[in-house]
Parts: sequence; C-alpha cells; structure tokens
Amino acid sequence: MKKLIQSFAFLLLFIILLGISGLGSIAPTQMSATAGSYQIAPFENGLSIYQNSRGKYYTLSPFNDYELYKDKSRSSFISIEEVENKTFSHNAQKNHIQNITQSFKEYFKNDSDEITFKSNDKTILYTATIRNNHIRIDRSVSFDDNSSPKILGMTISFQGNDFVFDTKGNLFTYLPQDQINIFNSTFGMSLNANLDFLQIALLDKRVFILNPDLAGTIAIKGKPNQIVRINRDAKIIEIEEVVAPKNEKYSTSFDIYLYESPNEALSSL
Amino acid sequence: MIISLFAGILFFLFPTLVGRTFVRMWNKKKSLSFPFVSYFISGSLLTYLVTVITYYIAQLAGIKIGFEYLFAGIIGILSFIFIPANFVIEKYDLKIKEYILPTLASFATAALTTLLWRIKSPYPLNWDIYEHQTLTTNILHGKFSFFSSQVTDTFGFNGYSTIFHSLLAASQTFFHIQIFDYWNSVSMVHLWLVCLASYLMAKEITGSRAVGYISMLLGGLIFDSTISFTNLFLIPQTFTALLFIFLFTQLIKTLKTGKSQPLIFIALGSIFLLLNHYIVGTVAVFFYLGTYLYFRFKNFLTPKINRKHAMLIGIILSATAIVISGIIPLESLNKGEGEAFVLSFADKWNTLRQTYGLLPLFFVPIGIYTIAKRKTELTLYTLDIALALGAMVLLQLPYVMKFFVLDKYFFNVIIAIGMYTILKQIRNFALRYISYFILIFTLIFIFVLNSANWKQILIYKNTQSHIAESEIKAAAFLKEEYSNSNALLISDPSTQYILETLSNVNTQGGAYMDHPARATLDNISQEQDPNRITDSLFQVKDKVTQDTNTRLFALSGRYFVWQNQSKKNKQDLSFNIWHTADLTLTNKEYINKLVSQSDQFKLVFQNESIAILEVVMSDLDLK
Repeated sequence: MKKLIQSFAFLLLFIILLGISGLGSIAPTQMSATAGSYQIAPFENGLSIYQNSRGKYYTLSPFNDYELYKDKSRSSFISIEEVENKTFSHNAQKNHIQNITQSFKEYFKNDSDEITFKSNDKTILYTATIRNNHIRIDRSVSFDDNSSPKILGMTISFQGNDFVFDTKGNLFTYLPQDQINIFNSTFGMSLNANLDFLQIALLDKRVFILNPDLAGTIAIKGKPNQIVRINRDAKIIEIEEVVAPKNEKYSTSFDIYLYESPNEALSSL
Repeated sequence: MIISLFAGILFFLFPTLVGRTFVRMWNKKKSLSFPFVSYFISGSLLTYLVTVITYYIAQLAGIKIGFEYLFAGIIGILSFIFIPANFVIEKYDLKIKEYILPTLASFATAALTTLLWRIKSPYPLNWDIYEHQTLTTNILHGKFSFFSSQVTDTFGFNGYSTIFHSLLAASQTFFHIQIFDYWNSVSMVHLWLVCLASYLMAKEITGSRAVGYISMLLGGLIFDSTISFTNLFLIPQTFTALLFIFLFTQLIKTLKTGKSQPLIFIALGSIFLLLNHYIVGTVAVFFYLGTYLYFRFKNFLTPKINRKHAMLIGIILSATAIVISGIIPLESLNKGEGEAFVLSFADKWNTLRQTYGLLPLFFVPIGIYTIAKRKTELTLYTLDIALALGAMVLLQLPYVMKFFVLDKYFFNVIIAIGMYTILKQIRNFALRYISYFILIFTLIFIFVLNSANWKQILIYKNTQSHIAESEIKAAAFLKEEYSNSNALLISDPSTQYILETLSNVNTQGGAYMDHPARATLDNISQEQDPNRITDSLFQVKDKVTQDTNTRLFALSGRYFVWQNQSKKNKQDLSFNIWHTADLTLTNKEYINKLVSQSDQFKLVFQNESIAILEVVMSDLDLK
C-alpha cells in the first residue's frame, strides 16, 4: 500500500511538472484559418479575410454592422462614441490557454474561427466556418437592453481600388477606364461602370470583389430573404434582413466563396 | 518515388559498405565498439579523397573527359571493389539483439515526429536543402572543387568542404531522383539516427535503458527550431553533430570496456568532423579529442585536479566570456546574414521555451542534483560538456546558437536523468507506464505548438510550405527548355533559389544573391523603360559560372512581394519571401506591358504564381 501511495504521489508530481512545462510553451498568438488562397483571423476590429504579406483586409465588424429603425435611420452595433471612449471589449487577443487551443485546432483541422465583442448593451459573436474555399459567416447578437430590432445589417468592408461587380458585368466602383480595360483583357470579361447610385441593391444577391493587388476573387452570396447592397460611399457590402429573436438572440448568416479568378467565381457561383 | 527513397538510404549505406571492408583491414583486433560509425566515416573519407585527388589530377593533366564521368567512374569502381567484399570478410561479434528494440523504438519516434511535422506540409520544410541540392547537382554535372564557393555562388563563403555534397552526389549518381522524395528519405533516416544516437549515448553514460529511451524521445520530439535544427533537418552542422555523438559514444563504450580506441579511427573521425563543418566540427573535435585524452590520462590527471575548484574556475571564465562578448565591439563579425543571428538573452530564453516548454526549468536542476549526488564519473563528465557548450551558446556572438546542435544531446541527457529521478520512484508497474504515456503526450503537445509557431509564416492556400505545385511546374518547364543552355535566371532571391535547384538553370547566388545584384533588381522596380530594364538584367553576373547571352526573368508573386519591401530588407541576406504568392492583376498588367511594349521580352511560361520571360539583349548592348 505504501508503495502504491508513493507511486501515486510521484506520478502526480510528474504530471504537475509536465503539465506546467507543456503549458509554459510559447503558443502562436495570431493563428489563422485558411480558405482558398485567403486567410481568416480575428483582429481588434472584427473578423478579417486577407492574404499573407499583402496588407489588405476585408473585415466583418460591429463598427459597421447595424440595426435599422422604422424611420430608416440606422445605428452601428458599436458607436463611434463607444469606440472613442473604449467602452467595449473583444476577445481578439486570446489568453494563453485559448491560444493553445486555437493553435491545436488550426494545426490539425482548420475549420473555424470566431470573435466576440461586448458593448454596453450588446454581445456580438462572429463565427466563420470553413470548408475548402467556402466560409459561412454566422453572427449572433444579443441585446441586453431588451430592445427588439426588426432589421439588422451585416457588412463586409472593401478597398477603394477594388473591382466590385455583379453577375451581369456591372462594375459598381469608380476605376479609371484603362484599369477596366486591363481587367477585361486579362480575364476576357466585359465590365461596364455602373455608377448611377452610391448604394445599389443586387437582385440576384451575389457580388464579386477583386483587388488588383491581391490574387483571387471574393464572392459574396446572400440568402433569398436578404437584401445585398453595395454601399460605395462607405466601402462596404451590406447584407440586410428582417429578423426575429430565437432564445433572445438574433442570428444571421451569409456565405463567402473564395476563387482563384473572377472567371472561376462567375462560373462556379 | 521508390528509387528516390532508396537513393536517400544509400547516402548512409554506400559509405558504410565501402568503409566496412576498409575498417576490417585496419582493425583486425576487432577492438571497435559501434563499428558502423567508423565504417561510415572511413567509407566517406575514402570516397571523398579519391574524388578530390582525381579531380585535381585531371585538372593538372588537362584531361578533357567531363568530371561527371570520372565521378561516376569513382563511385562505380568503389562499389564494385568494396561492396562485394562485405560478403566475404569476417564479421564482428555484435550483440545485435541488444539493439533491436532501441532501433525499432527510434524508428517509431522518428516516424511519429515526421507524421506530425508534415501535417499540411506536402514538401520538405528544410529551406537549406535547395542550396545543398544545387551544389550536389553541380557535382553530378561535372563542377567540382574542395571549396563549396567554387562550385556554385549560392555559397558565399566556405563554411565546410564539399564532402557532404559529394556523399549526396554519390547516392544520386546512378539514379534519376525526385528531389523532394530523396530529401524526405535522407531526412527521415537522419531523424531515425538522431533518436538512436540519443538513446545510445544516454545509455552508455548512465547505464540506464530508461534514461536512454527518455533521451530518445527528447531527441525526436524536441525540435530546436532556431538556427541549430538538430533533428528534423539534415544539413552539414546537424550531420556533424550526429556523427560526433556516435563517435563520442563509441569512444566511451570502448574505454569503458577497457579497450583502447585505435588512433587511426580517432584521427579519421576528427578529420571527418572538421571537413563536414569547420566551426561546429572544430568544437566537436575539441570535445572528442578532449574526451579521449581525459580518459586516457585520467589516472594521472584526477589526483591533481580539485573538481570543485575546476568547476568554479570554469563557471567564472564562462560568465566572464558571456559578459565580455556582449560588450566588446564585434561589428566585423556581425555582418551580412550573421547580423540577424545575434540573439539576446531574452531571445534565447524564448527559443528555449518554444523548443522545450518549461521542461528544463524543472528537470535540469533535478538532473544536476542527481548527478552531483551520485558522483558517477561519466555523468559528471556529461554535465561538464553540457555546461561548457551551454556557455558557448550563451555568448553574445553571431551563430553561437549553432553550438546547440552539439549541446542538445548532452542537455537532453541531463533532462532525461532529471525525469528518471522522479519516474523511478513510481514503483507500481502500471502507473509507471501511464507516466511514460503522459510524457510522450506532453512532448507531442510541445512539438505541435512549436511546429505551429514555426510554420505559421508559411501559409499558402491550404498548405504550409516554402513551395507550391505551380513553382514546381515552372521549374519543370525551365529544366526541359533551358537546363542545357547556360542561361542565367534572374528573380527575387527566394524564387531564384528554388528554381535553380529544381531546374538546374543557373542564377546569381540563389537566395544569397550578392548586394550589387540586389541593388540592380531594386532599381528595376522603379524603371518603366524596357530597354533600361534589359540593360540592368544584363548587368547581373554570376562570378562562378561563365557568362551567357540568355537571360530569363522570372516574375513571380514572390518577386513582386519582395519588390514591395524596404531597401534594407532587399539587401538583407537573411530576408526572404518564405512562401509562394500568386500573381495579382497589377502583376499581370506589369508583365503584359513588358511583353507588349518591347520585343526584348518574350513570355515563355506563365501560370498562377509565376511568369518567365526570355530577355533579348538590346541593340545598345550588342554594339
């Protein structure tokens, strides 16, 4: 019995020392999941899609996401005042244990990433679920102030020099004609500038983004009950829908597909 | 694939079989322990000696036959003479049974480590294989010298002779290898041998199989991922360390059995270590000869040395050296790539944590305590070496982390002793097995975090790799069309480095492109006029290989990412674009402009990540 107790005691000591040793390892602090030729990872301002070493980010952010009121006025989930006063929190910087968990998950599987923001009256969770070149974006919002919004908008930002276009070849961003010509000749397409409106809703709920300094094309696909709108002024794509709470949470989602070229995007989606 | 894997095994097997006959001729008394290391070293030195002599005689005699044929002849003759002799010479009485389990366990550890390491990484992750394969391929194409920098300008200085590459070339001579399969094979066997060497050394020092097995696990699953790369990468420094450990183990085993180690094999071992890496080899030889002399004359020395005083003096001297190395001006040493490899104490502590977690924090003191308490001569001696090499690693000089490649084996023995001090107190059989299982799990845990950290900058699509399929296809095109043309390929350092190895089309320095060429390439990014770009490209010259009128301009995604870096980064020899990048619309527009606005650029290949232009000299240059 004494031998067994001694063995248990030393086993326990060994486990504790090994446990501390293992947890004392340095874990990567900015792991990212991969989808097609892009990566996705949480940052201080939201969940961003980007490419290694290229410095351009397409972000899903509570600073841009919004609720819409009956008078058509809107307010972002986290207001400028809250940003300036820093009265919100997020978990982009994970603690050591979370970093370890995320590192293991992404080392072996690479299937999801998420970030949570908390403001005075809201908790917003963004989740990206990845399968090959497809990212399903889920956002759940809970309102702590018992407000019950009717319409919520999700957004994804784009860059000033992006080609933002639809399935019919309408180009919704202002770009010099020689740039458009280069695009058309490179990809064998015929984009035509359509700049009549600063904001335009797309009937087939599909929009494509190509940045000349990135390799690949981002395709965004809304659901039938959603309005997919290009907001050229704010450089965001808005995905808006009428919502109803479920377990006191408002959940919305949409799909992002990442392709090698606009031709592949148009033929696949 | 099977041929490449076999050729990889031949890297170790061919010199061993050649050397076995040679060793038996010299050592009829059979006094060698672990004779395989002496077989390998003797065979390697014999092969290299014959190669060097033949090359220089052929040079002096002005023999016109290409050296590639002479080299193939040398390997063929050595194989023909020495390998069949293995079947007729007298065998050593080796207790093979004693080594079956450690050999199998080493293989299992190496296989597990390799499986974990290669998750999401389809190609070898050893960046250095490209330069070593480039030199090897040059030898196979008849370019040879004792000095690596004279075979290819990828080697800017001579840190070692070409013995390592000659052995690689010997194993590839008669086979059409797939480069990545070959390197996967040699790296796996290297890792296997690292695990086995870790076991054998720890077992010989402590007399404990358990300590040997723990050391084996540490040898395989602990990856020193900064500068030294002991286990996962086969390169001259890691190979030197591996052979040193086998030689050290052989020496102490022979001395323990009361036999004397034949001086000829001590000399051959020392020469091999030096030829294989001048700096790491010199330190290895110092400890190898030091060990031999210490044990040879210990009866004379021991009564005259007060161990405590010697230890105290050693610690004071080491501490002084560490402090002074941080103060004295060493700008002359800290130049070029070396500048990037001066690690602060904080960096070194973080490197240690990334490599081992906090294992050393607990188990090194316990190990030292046990060694001090037991006062066994060999374990005390091991501790001395571990501390001496550790002090060298702590010096504030460039590249000193390379010495960890030697220290890691000794350091692991100390940790293994520390672990076993606790484990042997677990006397219940089942609980002890559980504790070994938990140890393996912890080492896997540390290894995965370390690998995740190391590989996170290598993301390209769903892989973590230095290279992609598209670049391999580009290299295949170059090999088919230009490998016999003496063309000079120009791109950013990383693209050059990879393409030169895979296509055998020459570049200026590969990843170690010289500073003037880097400046020329930097100027090209500001240039719009195709004529001026052409002129600049023809200013890039290879100092080793004869000039040619064909220039190939490889415009890869990496090239454009590199061109967007600061001037400082572009001149930094340690800065590379480590992962593949695809061409963007802007990149494609640049390429199209160059091709359409000038007839000096002809697009000969393009895919998603690279375009290759053949460059024609402008009229101005032709005049």
